[in-house]
Amino acid sequence: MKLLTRTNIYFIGITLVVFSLGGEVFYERVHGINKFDASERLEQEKNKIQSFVNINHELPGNSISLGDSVAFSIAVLAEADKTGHVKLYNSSEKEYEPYQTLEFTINSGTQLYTAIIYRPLLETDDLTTAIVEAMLIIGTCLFVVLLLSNFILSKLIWSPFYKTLEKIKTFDFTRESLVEFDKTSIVEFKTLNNVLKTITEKIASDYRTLKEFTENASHEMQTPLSIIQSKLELLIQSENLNAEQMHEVQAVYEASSRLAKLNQALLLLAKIENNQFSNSKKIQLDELIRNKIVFFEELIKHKNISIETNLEAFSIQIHPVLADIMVSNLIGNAIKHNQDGGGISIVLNQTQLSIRNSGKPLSIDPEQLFQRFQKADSSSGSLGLGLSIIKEICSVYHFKLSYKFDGKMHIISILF
Amino acid sequence: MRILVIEDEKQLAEAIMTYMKTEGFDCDMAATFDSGYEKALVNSYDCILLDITLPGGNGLEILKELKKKNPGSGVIIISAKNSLDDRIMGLDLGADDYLNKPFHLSELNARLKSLLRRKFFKGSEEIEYKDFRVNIKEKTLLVKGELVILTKKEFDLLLFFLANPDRVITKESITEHLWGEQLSTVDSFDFIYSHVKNLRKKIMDKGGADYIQTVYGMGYKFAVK
Repeated sequence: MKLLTRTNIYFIGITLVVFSLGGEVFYERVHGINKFDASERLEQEKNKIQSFVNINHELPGNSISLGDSVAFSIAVLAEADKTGHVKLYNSSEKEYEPYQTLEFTINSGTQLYTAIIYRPLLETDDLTTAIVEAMLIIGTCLFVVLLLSNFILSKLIWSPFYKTLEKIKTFDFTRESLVEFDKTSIVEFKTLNNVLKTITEKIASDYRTLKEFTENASHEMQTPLSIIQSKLELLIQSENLNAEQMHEVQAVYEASSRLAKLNQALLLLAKIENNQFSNSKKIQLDELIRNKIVFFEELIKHKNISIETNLEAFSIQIHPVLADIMVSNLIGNAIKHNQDGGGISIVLNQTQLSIRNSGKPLSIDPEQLFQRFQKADSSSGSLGLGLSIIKEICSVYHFKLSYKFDGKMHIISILF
Repeated sequence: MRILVIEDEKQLAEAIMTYMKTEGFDCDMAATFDSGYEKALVNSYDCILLDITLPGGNGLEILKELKKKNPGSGVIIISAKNSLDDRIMGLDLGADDYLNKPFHLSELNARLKSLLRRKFFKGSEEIEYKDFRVNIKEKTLLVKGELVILTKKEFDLLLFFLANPDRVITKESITEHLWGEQLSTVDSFDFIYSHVKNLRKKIMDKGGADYIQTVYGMGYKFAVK
């Protein structure tokens, strides 16, 4: 949920609560005033009637225009004033309407009378409707104003925050070492930017140090590995080794070869990450793929793999060595993980390259396929770095690498 | 043939020299920039194996001077730097080949022989060994005068064997020789096996002797039994 959406939801909630409570209070107040006002009026009318009777010693009849209806009846005893509420049927509006009444005893000098004055009150329904309507209009106006001001304010106030967010989202510490944030006068955002700057610089520099270390370590290992390998190669030539010794030497030789290969692959990865393949050239990809298929021809035949291609002429801007490694690894991978008599299909068009090969389903999580040292089969001679190298190359050139298994075929696609 | 090994790792230089001496080469060694510089420029070598990172200086400087003074010498750079720039610069400066450490001695030997053949036996691109006549340029093999049809890889394999006769050649070095360094993704040892089998069969079908021995688990040896 966006910050703005969340704020707006709160605004809706607050407006609803405030306005329903406010409406309630408002209703009570208006209702109270209405009743108070009715009592006062009734009292005034009572006084008018009283004074009329005192002067004329008879009941007013219709000669006084009172506005409210009044009814007289003969009383036996004088009683105290009584106020009350009744509902009377209004024949013109065909509904009951509320009235406030004042009942009092009046003495004309000869006779006691009970007088009741009826004064219509504001109808509850009308009052409620009026208030709800008023509240809705005010509430909506207020809400719209809040929305607008929220929108404008967030554009204004939060803009440094969103800028920072955008910067940090696109920041790739494997490629760049510094992230520059825009200046802001808000203390909180300033702090945020400073903290982020420190963190990203630290991450980038640690990452760089680590990469440099990997590369240097790999370099330093090359020479001792050379010595081990060449000495072993001489030892193998020796005529004096018996079968058992030869077997031991062979094991050491194989292990050292593996180590050398591993080291080379790690060195290559470090070099790609350290941007040492920066010169790019236009490489005709379809041509490169065709050449690689010829290069692997005998391996493909050896495994009785049928290969079909559908290659459109397409070129990309890439370092020639990386292009070579990428295509070699992709095709090599499709051969290696294929079964005897399986198939490979390579499709290249203007947007993507996809290589499909038959083979056993993965024994590892496809999500981890491109991670280093992930091997489908731990006993195989594979280093588990081939796909990581492809992934690294793709990330340098911002190609999108993906893997799918459709039940029969493994599909690796590179979206350019 | 005289060879100079300029390499500061004594053990590696010795291993190279031991291998090369049994190939019949006359080998000298230099372990620093200065001694390498002096030996390379004073004496005349057919080929120099040159390390780039040397105590006292960059091996490429020796290459520069050498090409001015003695352009006929072959140079193979052996480097642990695996740097593409070094490779390009080295080849631009006139090096004939470039080999990354760690390398197989059999591979170095094959490259060295191929270089010497190119440099010193121009025109006669033929190798003769027992009943074999191999024409490098035409990529043909004659066994007892009869043409044997080989695939490109089989031919490369044969040349690799011929460059290292009477040696145990490991399957790892064959794989690298045929498929290059990057091929860590393809487990091609059983492929090498069937490849060698085919080559052997093709030669024997034409009446050639079985020169390729299997060294169990290790690799192969091209030799007369």
